[in-house]
Parts: sequence; structure tokens; C-alpha cells
Amino acid sequence: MTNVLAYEFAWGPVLDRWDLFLLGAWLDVWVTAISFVLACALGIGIAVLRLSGVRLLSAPAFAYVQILRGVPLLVFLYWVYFGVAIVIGLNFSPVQAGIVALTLTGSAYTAEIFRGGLQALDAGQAEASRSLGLSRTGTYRHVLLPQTLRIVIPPLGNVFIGLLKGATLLSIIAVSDMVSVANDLNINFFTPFEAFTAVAVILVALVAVFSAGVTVLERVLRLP
Amino acid sequence: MVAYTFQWHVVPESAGALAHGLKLTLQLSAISFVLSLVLGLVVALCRLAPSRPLRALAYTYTQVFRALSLYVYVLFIYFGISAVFGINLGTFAAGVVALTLLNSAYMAEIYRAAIQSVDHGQREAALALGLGHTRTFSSVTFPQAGRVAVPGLVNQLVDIVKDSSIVAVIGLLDLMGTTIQLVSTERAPFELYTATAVAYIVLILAISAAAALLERRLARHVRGGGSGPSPLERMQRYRFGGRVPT
Amino acid sequence: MTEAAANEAAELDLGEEIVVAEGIHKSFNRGQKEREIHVLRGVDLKVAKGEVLVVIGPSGSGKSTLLRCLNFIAPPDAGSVTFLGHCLTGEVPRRRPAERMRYERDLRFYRTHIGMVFQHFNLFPHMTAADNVALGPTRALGLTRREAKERSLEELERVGMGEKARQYPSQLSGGQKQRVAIARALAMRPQLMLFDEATSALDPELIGGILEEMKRLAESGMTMIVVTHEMGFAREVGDRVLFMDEGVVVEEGGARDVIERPQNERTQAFLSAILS
Ligand SMILES: Nc1ncnc2c1ncn2[C@@H]1O[C@H](COP(=O)(O)OP(=O)(O)OP(=O)(O)O)[C@@H](O)[C@H]1O
Ligand SMILES: [Mg+2]
Repeated sequence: MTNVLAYEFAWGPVLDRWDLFLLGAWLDVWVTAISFVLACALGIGIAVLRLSGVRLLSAPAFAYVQILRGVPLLVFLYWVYFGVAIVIGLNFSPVQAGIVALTLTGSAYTAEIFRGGLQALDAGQAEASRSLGLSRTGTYRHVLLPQTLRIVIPPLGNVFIGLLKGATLLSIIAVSDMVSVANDLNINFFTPFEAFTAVAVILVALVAVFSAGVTVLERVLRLP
Repeated sequence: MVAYTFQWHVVPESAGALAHGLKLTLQLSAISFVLSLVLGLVVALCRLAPSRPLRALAYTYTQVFRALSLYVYVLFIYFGISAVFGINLGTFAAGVVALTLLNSAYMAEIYRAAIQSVDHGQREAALALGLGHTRTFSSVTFPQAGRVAVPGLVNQLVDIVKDSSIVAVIGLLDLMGTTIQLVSTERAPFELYTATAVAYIVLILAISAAAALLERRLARHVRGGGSGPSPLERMQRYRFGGRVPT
Repeated sequence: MTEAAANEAAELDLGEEIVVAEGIHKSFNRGQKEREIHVLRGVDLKVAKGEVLVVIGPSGSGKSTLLRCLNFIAPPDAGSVTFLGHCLTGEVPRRRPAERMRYERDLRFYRTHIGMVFQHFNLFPHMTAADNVALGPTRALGLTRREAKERSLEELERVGMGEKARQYPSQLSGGQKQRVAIARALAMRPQLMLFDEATSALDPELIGGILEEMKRLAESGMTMIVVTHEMGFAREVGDRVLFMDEGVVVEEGGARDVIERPQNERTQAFLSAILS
């Protein structure tokens, strides 16, 4: 192979630094996890506002979703990290900026998912629950949310994976995640193919694991 | 805390450069979109082909190219593949290749679902009329599937435009790349990134408005001008589709 | 309703009337010019203990809405509902927290003591039949899990669904679902049962069984308000019939009288259409 191509494959530098790659991947995962949880919380709130039936609340919620979906994540990341930071005179750490950008972007997607999940439920469910004397919160907790949960899990899984892919962008603002490990290798040893292959393999593995997790969760919660 | 003085004047001053970047973004997106449309259809047809190896190959294609983010593909293609084959792909070409590979894989799935959604009876009726397989596909199945696929395909265009900003990372002076460069000289990051964000939003709004119009055109033949969803509802459908961020 | 009138009504009823509704008005989409519809236009209604009141009327006349007003799932815009000596209007006291809390308590009282059975069953798909029945007793009555479970099995047994206790709604037929829904309402030990077209969504061969169940319930002395198109049932089981059209009560009287000798033109037209 090396005869045909001018390129000399050198896997050594990559293999020697497997621990750095895993550390970098771990950073991507926990940043994603935090952003995802925050995005879900925020998304539920925005979905409830959108469904409130009060114009003054639902219109801003609608605009929020539209605007955040229109901005590329990279642009948003730069806007938060370089732009907003200067205006409010606050120095975000790169990881903080990343979490803010991922959370806000993610919330625009989760909001729509939760809205769909709540709207998909038959109004008769809430009526039946209230006719049994359950309170508003009781109705949400025991009747509506458990059903919504089953509807939203698969699309939320997609958001999680999307955010994970998005998290790899953080290397651009000097977060030392797995892509930045690969970039360093590329610069120091000139082994771009090996370095980015390592990133690709890890990312594919992570996506596969999380997809499988979602499938399992779905199966556990599936009703007969 | 020192109060920040906004320097919005930077934006109109940079308008020329930004417009140039925007032009490159549009070119990059348009070329990638058209290539993905064609390649995606080819892959979809392979996935539905009678030949088993062909199906397996097409399946692998869709799985592999949907697995990663555009960022990783861009790095891989621009640095990795270029180095291995000793060719010097420019940033623009690398962007086109990455965007096309990724989005054609998504589009193949959209086409496939659309083709499969066409009623079997339609195909059978056409075959019964003596149309050949190719003719049946091109004049009966595909026109119907196309209509179903339009919203999904337009969402891909929205994704392409958004994703294309990532090519700035390897130094392409598209809208985002130009903005990054301007920020380093003008030192007005908030104003410039805000302007760029607004530009992307407007661009994407325009695409969804155009798509809503197109869909109404297509629907007219089928439903005889029935009311259907309102233009605004139709537009929202486009904004809400698409992939989660990359 | 003034206080004096309320007292008067309470005295008159004394152990007699279980529910009295007076001057009920209800509109949907209020304040939205084009879309506003005035569904109930001043409905009065009285049901004595042990009585079965059958409500009939054309589609869209407001029968379901009337039932929903009685247990405040759709609070009336005007008028009052007196139930077992409590009197509630649709006006929600928003200001004072104490009043608000009393209102909530009253609402809960109405809902826990009024059972409701829906046309489309509205079983909770994520719970087994037994859990569907046990939800109200645990979450609204405060029974322990075990007590609720016992009561749930008992009620399911009573409607002949003891064996299906662990099935999910999707595994039951329409008739079985409606039996579970009836058991769910009865598990609250209600003083009044509302049936909103409980058999309309069922296959013809399953209707008889559910009507039989309702008849048995009536014979056991349950007070019931039944919206139905089953005239045979209305005549046989109903004590009184109330005919509604366009949001008002057009005719009211003994079940046989109204069904066999309707006085009002509209009642006559409706009955002849439905009986032919
Ligand atoms: N939640 C609601 N929002 C708006 N309109 C409603 C709502 N519920 C009922 N309506 C309207 O109120 C009117 C009366 O409805 P209702 O369900 O009470 O009629 P009904 O007598 O029960 O009819 P049916 O025999 O078809 O069940 C109908 O025109 C209906 O469209
Ligand atoms: Mg009804």
C-alpha cells in the first residue's frame, strides 16, 4: 500500500495516545450530557409556553424556536464565546460557552419535540384523569407525562446524538476534546489520516452505543 | 463592569466583504445540494435494486455517511484523504465533497421512504398497462414520490446551508469564514457575529418560504386547489424539519 | 344565584336531590368573534337520589358539554351546580389564596363523588386495567396501594373483568374497555354516575352487555345521568327523560311519556328520525 501511495502510514503516534483520545471523548460526552439535560428542562418550559394559549407567552416561544433553528451551531458558538462575552463583560471558559451554545440550540429542538408529545395526547386522557379527582399536577405526573415520555424518547435520542456531534465543534474554541487531540497530532506528526480516523472510530462507536441505549430504553417502556 | 459601546457601524462598513462571503456560501450550498440530489437518488435506487450486493453497498453508504458530523468529514477529507492520495483539494472542493457525501446519504433515505410510500397498486396498474419498469418508475412512481420527498429534501437544503458554515474552519472565506477574518481585524465580534447570524436566519427563512410556494404548486395538481395547510403552517413545516445541530 | 336562593334550594332538596343545576350557560372560544359558540343557553336540571335521568338530543345539542359542566371539567360560564349540599359556580376565585383553596377542595369533592364514563373509554394506555382502576383511589382518595388494589380487583370482578386485571387497554376489546372504565368510575364509590354515550363506540353485538351492566347499576340504586341514543334502554331503565336541542331543554318528563307521547314538535321529529 505504501508503495502505491506517497503517504507513509504511521499509527504509532495515535496508538500511543489512546488515553488522550479517550479523555477527549469523555469530555465530549459529559459536555453533551449536561447540555442535553439542560436543553430538555428548557425545552419543556418553552413547549408549555407555546401551548399556554396566551399570545404574549406563545409568540416569543415560537420566535425563540425559529431563530435558534436558523443559526448554524458554529456561528452561535462564536457569537456566545466571542461576542456576548465581550458585551456583558464576562469571560466564559470555552467549555462554559460550549455548554451554553449546545443547550440553547438543543432546547429549540427539544421544545418542538415536547410540544408534539403533549399535543399528540388525546384530550380525553386529561379529562378522564380530572374526572377521577386528580389534581392538575397529579394529572401531569401520572397520566400525561408518562405517555409523553414514550413519544419523545426516540426523537430526544436524536437530539442527544446531534448534540454529541455538535460537541466536537468545541475543539475550534480550544476545548481539549478528542478532535483537538487529533489536531495536535496532525500538526506535530503530520498523521492526519490516522488521527482523524481515530476520531471517526470513537465517534461512530459512541453514536452506536447511545443509539443502542435509546433502542433498549424504548423497548423497556414499550406498551403491549 | 465597564459598559460596552456597540460599534454597529462596523457592519455596514464590512458589507462588501460579507456579501462576497455570502456569495461563496450560496455557491457552496447550491452545488452541494444539486450533487446530493443526484447522488442521493442513485443511492436510493441502488437500495431498492434487485441485486443484493448493490443493495448492501448502498445501505453501507447511507449508514457510513450519516454516522459522523460534517466537521469530522471536513477535517478527514481536507487533511486526511488529501495527504494519503497526495492531492491538494482546495477548501471549496473539500467542502463540496464533504457536504455532498453527508447529505446524499440523508437524501437517499428520504427518497427511499418516499418511493416506498407510493401505493403498490399504482405500480401494478402501470405495469398492467404495458409500461416497462423504467417507464413505470419515471412516469408513475417517481412523480408521486417526488411530491412526498419535497419537504424532506428542502430540509436538507436548510441543513446544507447551516452546515456549510463549518467549512470556514479549514479557511474557506464563505460568510462565516469572512466574518471570522473581519473580527480579527475590526474587533467587533458581537456586532459581526450577530449580523452573520441574522443573515443565516434570513437566508433560511427565504428557503422555507420558497419551498412552501413550491409545495403549493405541486399540490395544486393533486388536490384541485383544496385549502390544505396555510402558507405559514407550510413554512413552519420546513423550519421544523431537518437534522439536529451539527 | 343569591345566597337566599341557595339556602332555599338546599332546604328543599334535603336528602332528596343529589344534583341541581340552574341556569347553566357555556360558550367555547369565548372572545374570539367568529369562532365563539354558545353551546348551553340556560339549562336547569334536577336529579333525585336513586333516579336515572336520560338525556337525549341531536348531535351538537350540548349533551356532552352539559355533563362536563356538572363535574366542572368544563366549568360553566354562568349558573350554578349544587351537589350534595355544596354549591359551585364556574367563577374561579383568583384573588384570595384561601378562597382559591376552598374552591379547589370543592372541585375535588365534586370530581371524586361524581363518576364519569366516556364514549371513547379514555382508559390510560400506559397502565394495566387494575392500575387504571386503582389510580383514582390512590391519588385522589388517598387509599394505600394495597387497599386500592383490593378495591380495584373487587370492582373489576363486579363488571366481569377480574381475569383481565393485568391486561393493558390495547389488549382488550371495546366492550371490555368500557367495563374497565365503568369499574374505574365505580371504584371511587361515587354518589352520581355520568354516562356519555357509553355504547356509541361499540360494535353492535357488544352494546347489549354494557347496557345490561348499566341497568344492573341502576337497579342497585345508583343515581345516574345517561346520555344515550338507545331508546329501548331509556324507556326501560330511565325514570325521566330530558330532550335537549341547541343548548336548551326542550322537553322533560317521565321516560315513557316523553318517548311514547312527545309533546314538542322538535322532540317528535327527533324521535321519529331516531326510531325509524
Ligand atoms: N372543547 C370545545 N371547543 C370548542 N367547541 C366545542 C368544544 N366541545 C364541544 N364543542 C362544540 O359544542 C357543541 C356541542 O358539543 P357537545 O359535544 O356537547 O354535543 P353533543 O350533544 O354531545 O353531541 P354528540 O351527540 O355529537 O356527542 C358542538 O358544536 C361542538 O362542536
Ligand atoms: Mg357528545
